[in-house]
Amino acid sequence: MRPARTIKNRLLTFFILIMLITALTSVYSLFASLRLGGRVEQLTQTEVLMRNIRGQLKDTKQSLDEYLMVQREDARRAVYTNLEDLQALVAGRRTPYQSQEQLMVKDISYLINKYSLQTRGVIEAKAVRDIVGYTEAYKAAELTASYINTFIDKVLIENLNRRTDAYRYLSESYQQVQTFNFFLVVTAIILTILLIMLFTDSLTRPVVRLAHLAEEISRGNFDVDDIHVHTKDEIGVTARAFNEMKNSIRRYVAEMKEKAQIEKNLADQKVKNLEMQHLLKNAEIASLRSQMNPHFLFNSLNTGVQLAILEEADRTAEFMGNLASLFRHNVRRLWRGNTIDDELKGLRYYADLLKVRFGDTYRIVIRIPKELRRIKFPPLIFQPLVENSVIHGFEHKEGGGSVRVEGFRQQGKVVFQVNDDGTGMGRDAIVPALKPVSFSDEDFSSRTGVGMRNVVLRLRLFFNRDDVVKIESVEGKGTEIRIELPEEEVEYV
Amino acid sequence: MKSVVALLTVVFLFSAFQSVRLILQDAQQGQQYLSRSEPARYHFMVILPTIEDEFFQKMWEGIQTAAEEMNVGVELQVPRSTLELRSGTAELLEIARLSQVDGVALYVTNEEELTPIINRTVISGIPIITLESDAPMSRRSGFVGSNSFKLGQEIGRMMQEAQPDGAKAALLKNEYFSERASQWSIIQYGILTSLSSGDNHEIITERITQIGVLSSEEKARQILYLNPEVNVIFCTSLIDTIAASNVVSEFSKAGEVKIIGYGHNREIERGLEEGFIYGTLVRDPEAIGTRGMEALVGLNSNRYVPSFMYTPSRVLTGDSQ
Repeated sequence: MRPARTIKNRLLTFFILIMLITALTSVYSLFASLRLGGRVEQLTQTEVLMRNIRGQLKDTKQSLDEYLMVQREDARRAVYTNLEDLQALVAGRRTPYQSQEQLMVKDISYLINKYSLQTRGVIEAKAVRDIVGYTEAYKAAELTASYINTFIDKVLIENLNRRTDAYRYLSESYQQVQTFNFFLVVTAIILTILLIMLFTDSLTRPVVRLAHLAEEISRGNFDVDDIHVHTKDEIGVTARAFNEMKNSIRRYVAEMKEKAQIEKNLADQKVKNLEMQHLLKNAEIASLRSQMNPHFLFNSLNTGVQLAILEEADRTAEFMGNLASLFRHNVRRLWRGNTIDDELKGLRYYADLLKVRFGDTYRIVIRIPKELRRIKFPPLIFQPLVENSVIHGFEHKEGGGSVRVEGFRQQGKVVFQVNDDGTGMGRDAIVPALKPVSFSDEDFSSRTGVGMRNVVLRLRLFFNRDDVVKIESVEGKGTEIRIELPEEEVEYV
Repeated sequence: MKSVVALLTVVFLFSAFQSVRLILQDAQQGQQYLSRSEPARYHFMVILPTIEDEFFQKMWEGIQTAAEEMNVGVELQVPRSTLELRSGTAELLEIARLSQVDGVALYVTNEEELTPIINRTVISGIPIITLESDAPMSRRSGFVGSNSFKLGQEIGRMMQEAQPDGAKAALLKNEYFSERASQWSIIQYGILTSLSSGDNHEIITERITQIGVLSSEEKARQILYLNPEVNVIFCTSLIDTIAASNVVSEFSKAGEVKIIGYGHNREIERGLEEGFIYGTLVRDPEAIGTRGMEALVGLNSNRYVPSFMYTPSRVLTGDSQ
């Protein structure tokens, strides 16, 4: 980005401005002094002219007297030369002006002309030895010379009067000029100093701030405010680029941190996945291992069913048939996607088994609305829980009991609960059941209540929530196992 | 800091502006003191006997005003000394001739002596206008001033009015008048013409005063000492009038000896109000100066200029105040 105003241009403008201020005062002072000098010269011009005329007139008279005495050619030439010089002094002074002084100078000019003619008349009369003629002409020339001197005096007096007025005027005028000149110089000096200070400050302040900021950033503190430089020069460009760079780095660092967090989460997830895989592998091994048993068991059960039919033991045949269906269902569900509906199917097989075995001792009630039956759900959850209630809940209770499997929506959650009205669980049984242990724990399988913990652990892993299962139990009244799933995390098939 | 800079900038610019303004102003005003004035159409020389008298000062003011209006250069020349008034005036007139000025306005101080020089100058092509004081026998180009005969008549009339029972008049004649026989004789003729209407009126004595108040007072005292019967003193200049009124007051003859003055200024005004001066002849010196210049410009422009150009005069008495 090219700056609109470069530092070079700013410096040049500034120096030119300072130079102009200095030059203005200097030029004005120079002008005033030159003017004063010129005026003084103007004032003395007339005086100098009058002095020269008087001197030249005297020289001319002396040269004339000398000629009249010696009558030599060189003396005559000297007179003429002097006359020419005298006339040259007042050449061009015959224009009338309004001032008295100049009018009298004009008079002098004409008188000199007359004097010149008279003097030449003296020389000519002397040349022809006209004694009366040259005497008369000499007297006339003398008289004219006296007129000239009289007028020179008058001009000098007039000039003196004028000069007195002029000096008074000049004195007042230049006093005023000097006063303003003084102000001009003083203000120029102060102004220049202040401008230099301002300019230096404006030039260095952003640089200093930039340096401090750079220092801060070098310490790793990116949370500093932007530097605000309003100039359009390189410093402004640098400051804006610096701000941009700082913000970019800050953004980049934030992104890096976020990425690290994501990676950490990913790693955690990986660990969980590994655990899941481990669990699955275990389950797989267990399944493979048990595949042989189910086959053998299915065949044996089928043989048993056929045997029971041949022997006309219908109840035995029904029982064994249900048992075979339950096994088949459970084995198959391990390897397929499971829903609540699938779970309920398995649960019904189990209920039928219980019915054959215990008659109406245990009542299993299922109340789950249809729309909740499509929810994806880990396999073998409800059946172990119900089995747990039947085995432990009613173990010491006479007269059987009922187990209610229910599903409903409550406060943004989908809730499934298994209630029994058995003897209930003690705290010492509930706490280990909910204890967050992993499948990798060595003593997992050695603990008691394996089925319950297996269910809790699988639910936690499946829904990735530790609080998915809650157990409430009142001894003597029953146990409630509650599976709470946030509505938004529930997936439907 | 920025406000200080702004303030200083304003002061600096103001000083610079004032300095430039002063230079420009100086360039205009300085001209009149320093450089040449504007070229003029003509160059006239005005020769007056003095410039200290108020009458001549006013005349010179009239001349200057007219000269400025008509763009004419006017050179005022006054003889170096009142003691050499005659020779000084003649010398200046000769210089004017040698200097080939375009015209001369002259107050004739000595008619007899100046007439040939006036003639010589006019013959050499330089027109001459006489101001207030004339040389009627010369070849002067024209006269600008009061009508002398009428002046005389007015003076005579005032004398009669001042002393109806018989005016015993003394004339305090300024030396300007003493040298101007023809003009003075016309004034005298006017006075006498006016006085002849009454039998008891007569002119007892005449005293010639030199320029300056001392001479005037001395002559006034002489009159009152030597001619105690005098009851009217006619003066022919401002200074004479004031000096005479002072002397009359000094002699405690105010009201008894009436002063008829010549000219008008504050002192005379006060004399008229207080009764020390009976009346005065007031001429218009500014008009004389102005018309003199107009006449010279007219002569140089080949326009017709009459030989006599009378300027108005009037009488002021204590009653008319």
